Amino acid sequence: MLRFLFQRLVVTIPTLLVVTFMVFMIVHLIPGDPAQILAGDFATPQVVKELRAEWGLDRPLLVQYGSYLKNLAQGNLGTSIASRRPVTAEIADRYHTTLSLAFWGTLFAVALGLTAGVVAARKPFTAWDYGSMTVALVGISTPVFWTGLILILIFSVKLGWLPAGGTGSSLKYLILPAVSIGFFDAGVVARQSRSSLMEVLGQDYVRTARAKGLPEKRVINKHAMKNAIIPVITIIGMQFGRMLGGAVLTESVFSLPGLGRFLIIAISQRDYPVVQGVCLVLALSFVIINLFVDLTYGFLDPRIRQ
Amino acid sequence: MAARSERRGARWLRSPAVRRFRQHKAALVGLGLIIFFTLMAIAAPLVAPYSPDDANLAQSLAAPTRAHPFGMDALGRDILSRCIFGARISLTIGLVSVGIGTLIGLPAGAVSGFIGGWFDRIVMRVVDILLAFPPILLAIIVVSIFGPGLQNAMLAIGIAQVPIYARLIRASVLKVREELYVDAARAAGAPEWMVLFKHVVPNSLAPVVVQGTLSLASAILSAAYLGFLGLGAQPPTPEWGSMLSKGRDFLRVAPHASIFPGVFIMLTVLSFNLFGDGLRNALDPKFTKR
Amino acid sequence: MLGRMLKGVSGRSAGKTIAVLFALILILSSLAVAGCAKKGGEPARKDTLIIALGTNISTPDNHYATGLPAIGANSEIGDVLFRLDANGNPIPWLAKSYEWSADKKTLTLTIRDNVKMQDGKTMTSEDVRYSLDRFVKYSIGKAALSMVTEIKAPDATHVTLTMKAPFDPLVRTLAYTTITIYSKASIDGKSKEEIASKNSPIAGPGPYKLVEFDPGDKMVLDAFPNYWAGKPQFKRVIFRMMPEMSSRIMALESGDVDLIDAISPQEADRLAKNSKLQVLNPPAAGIVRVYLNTQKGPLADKKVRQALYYAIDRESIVKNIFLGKAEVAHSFAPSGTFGYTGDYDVYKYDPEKAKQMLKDAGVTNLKFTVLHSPGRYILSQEVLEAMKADFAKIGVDMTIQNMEWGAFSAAIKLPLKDTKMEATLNWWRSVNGDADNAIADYASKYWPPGNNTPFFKNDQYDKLFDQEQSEVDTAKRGAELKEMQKILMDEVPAWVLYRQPNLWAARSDLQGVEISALSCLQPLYKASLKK
Repeated sequence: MLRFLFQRLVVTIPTLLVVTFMVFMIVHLIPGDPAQILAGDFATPQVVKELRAEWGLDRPLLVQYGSYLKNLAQGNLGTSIASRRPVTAEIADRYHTTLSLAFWGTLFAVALGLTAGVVAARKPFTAWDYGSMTVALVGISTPVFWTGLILILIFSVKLGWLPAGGTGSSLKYLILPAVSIGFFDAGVVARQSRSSLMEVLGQDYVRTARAKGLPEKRVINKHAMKNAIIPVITIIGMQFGRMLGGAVLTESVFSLPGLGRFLIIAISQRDYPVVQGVCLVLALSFVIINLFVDLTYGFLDPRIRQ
Repeated sequence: MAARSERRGARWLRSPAVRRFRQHKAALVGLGLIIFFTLMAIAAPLVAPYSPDDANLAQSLAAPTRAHPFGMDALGRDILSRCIFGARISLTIGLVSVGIGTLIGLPAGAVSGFIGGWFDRIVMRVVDILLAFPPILLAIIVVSIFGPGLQNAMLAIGIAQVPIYARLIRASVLKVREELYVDAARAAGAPEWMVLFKHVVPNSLAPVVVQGTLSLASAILSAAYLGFLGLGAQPPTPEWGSMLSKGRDFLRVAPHASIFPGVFIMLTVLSFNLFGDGLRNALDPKFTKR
Repeated sequence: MLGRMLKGVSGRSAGKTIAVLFALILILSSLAVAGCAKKGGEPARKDTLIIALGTNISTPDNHYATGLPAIGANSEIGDVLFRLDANGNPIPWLAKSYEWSADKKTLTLTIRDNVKMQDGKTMTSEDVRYSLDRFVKYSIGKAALSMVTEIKAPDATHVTLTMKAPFDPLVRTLAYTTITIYSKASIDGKSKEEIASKNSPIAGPGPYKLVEFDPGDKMVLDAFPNYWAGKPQFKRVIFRMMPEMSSRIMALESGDVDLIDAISPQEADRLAKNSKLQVLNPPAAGIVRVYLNTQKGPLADKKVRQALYYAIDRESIVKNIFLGKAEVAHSFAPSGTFGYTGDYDVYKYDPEKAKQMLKDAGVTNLKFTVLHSPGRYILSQEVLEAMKADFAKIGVDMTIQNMEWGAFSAAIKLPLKDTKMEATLNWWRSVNGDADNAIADYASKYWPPGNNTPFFKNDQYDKLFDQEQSEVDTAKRGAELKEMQKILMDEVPAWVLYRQPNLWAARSDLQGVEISALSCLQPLYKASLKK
């Protein structure tokens, strides 16, 4: 077990190196110059030249990548061009916001989505089914910013129960963002779990279990669920990963200092060290999540174990 | 000759799959809606009451009236007409990007999960890399290589979906390849590729069909977001997603500017989902009503 | 151990497996959340002014900051030598008075006496010299003082700035908010990382001192009771960064925040009807214009540029898109700046005349592309779409090409031989209340990669510009600026469209807030709630 984990983590190192190299080359090669963007109105050719020299951008690309790797090996992700703070500090400040948002969002999505999916699959083609699936579809096709703004309007402006955004030490700052980001994923989870579960319920061993006279609840929980859950877990894992770097709209609507927004700003400013750092951290997070997901496959279905 | 082809058509309509599909009322509703939207898109110039680009600034954000049932946008353009013309763009965005995602992701994930070993490891590492790549960065790369515009936005959205399909079908294949009927097919002497495409893939498709029909909505919305960053459709192209996101700033003063395009997106997603359900039921007898 | 745990899991049902997995993640995530503990001793809500800005404050240090509202927020910590009054005239602030040398190449500032700073020091000329020097050496905006060659503090109360050639608007330029004065002792010798950190030591003579800086989230400032101009009324000021306009507005409506910036004219009208709120629209120094490539492409012909200018219904744009909260611009400099004249704007909306002029110029089937980066300037996309419709009426086809900001900034800086730019929408301002700052870039020596985006070249203009820049006589300089604007309005290197709105909203009992024409908050020491 531990050996498997270790092996998996070792093989991720080349993956991460490839990611750093690709991101490095791409952000440097796409049009746009941080010196020009940052200096903005005052971007005289002289100022731009000086800034480029200060940031070492006038060196050949491979030399820059070399020194980036050298710093990386020492755990140094460089300094943000825009803020002059170390990239590690910038990311550390934001990672916990992003992680809590993704966590609570996923929790909400799974709670709502799985319930709706199971209800629908147990009573297919009934009002229960159509009802839950309608909720799911509304969740999927409602843009996150809509859900977010409407939740703020109701719970902050009209009722005054919850803050309209920002961060704080209490969890109440995360309720609305988690619900609005989770609502979309709940739809995905609901559809996926209904479909998987229905497929499994049509299988022979489920019929056998039923024929043996097992109560329906036990059939679902013990036999069907275990097999139906695999694609659902895959989806949950991927959505969780996407929430880490892609929750831009939710972070904007709720004014949360998260990685997604940070990355967008960094890309538009061509803040190379930040873009590289965030992408690396995201890639690492994905690898860990995928590892978890793969492990779960193995435990749910011992036949898949490698 | 004519009679023969008619008979063949009739037989096609009576095949078990089609019969199962036809039994599925919701799926028929879905198909009906898809046909409706498609016709609307094709016949947009005939159906739309006004030109989608006719601006009348004096009517900026005017509320719905009898003459303009969906009201006006910020430039005083008829939202109904823009929604109708928008079907052309938005349906294309949804279908093309999901198409790109599945065409690449599906075979890669299926083969990878089926044969396993080093090939699986490589494909999954590539998938990891792609997943870790922020979609926005991907879009900027595509646009800086191929230039801005709608086609390239679709390409970017499609590529961003590849890893999702690949992982999804791989997970399914991993499970299905262990089933008895797969072993049976092998024992009967079927070559590996036939086992994969005839037995494993069709039985692994369910989650992909669901994801595919769901991704339509996110593709349409992503296109809007890319447009907002200057990476998507160029104004004043009527497109549901960007109408919706433009309407965001007027949500409180003129809700109609974003509600109607939102409803169109929702109905499209709904129709494809219903259709997807029916399709899967038709192809896979396990899903028939109990 | 992990193996055992997971084996135990596998024996149970799937639902429980997920529950255990989530419990695991929950623990990890709550550990992360636990990192931020609450700080004690917060002032009461009524003594706290909470401001939500749409702009990100990337650092509390104004010499490195970008984005005008962010610079305004930071200027509560530091302070400026001069401020500009409503007419753009300099008011002595930290500098009590100034004197020009006879050749107008040296400016001597006399520093206000006994100005206390947040680190307990008293401000001396050395603090001013050090801050100016740091600005000129390192700031992103250092070009604003590029003419200054030497800064000295000859004694404890005087600072001298020396230039190669006279530069008359220098005093106004020193009022530019980003030229902030800090306490030398608080930052000298400290690393850039430390100065930009959460608990930055940066201190200055401003009304509020830095308590905490949370990137992407908020900046907390506490009243500095010894502020030289008067004791601040609020005990605490919090700047929150809220990029989404609708969220800012709802935060104001729910009472979470007290003052917000950058709202749309449509929302301003709605909020004005709310008796608990007030809308502020101080004059703005920024003008939105469409730069035109004057050297190559379909708009290189001056007649075409003039003709099309007649076809743009600027009144309608201002009235219908901005609901009258913007202002039609009649010159390349913002009205109210020194040297401004609006007398040469002859381009009153007249599509028939435009058509005729195009015909006279022998131009048919005119097509061109305008570059635009959406989301930067309020409603700019709507403005371009309205112009597109206006041009369509005279048979001209304008294509709007939206671009991502980074790529856009690169595209407009390409030299003439490489550029494909035909037209581009942009915003320009005067940072110092002087027309010079708004129109200097049209000198041909500033062609891209400089800021002369339209590649404008006019010998008479260049000559006037050189004369104006080194003019010693202020009145004569004013006349030269007017002459330069006349040339620009005739040559049309850009279609000057409108002056941006500068819309803010606040709770109705908030008073004493001053906002500069550059959307920078002024020192907030007078701000308070009406009793």
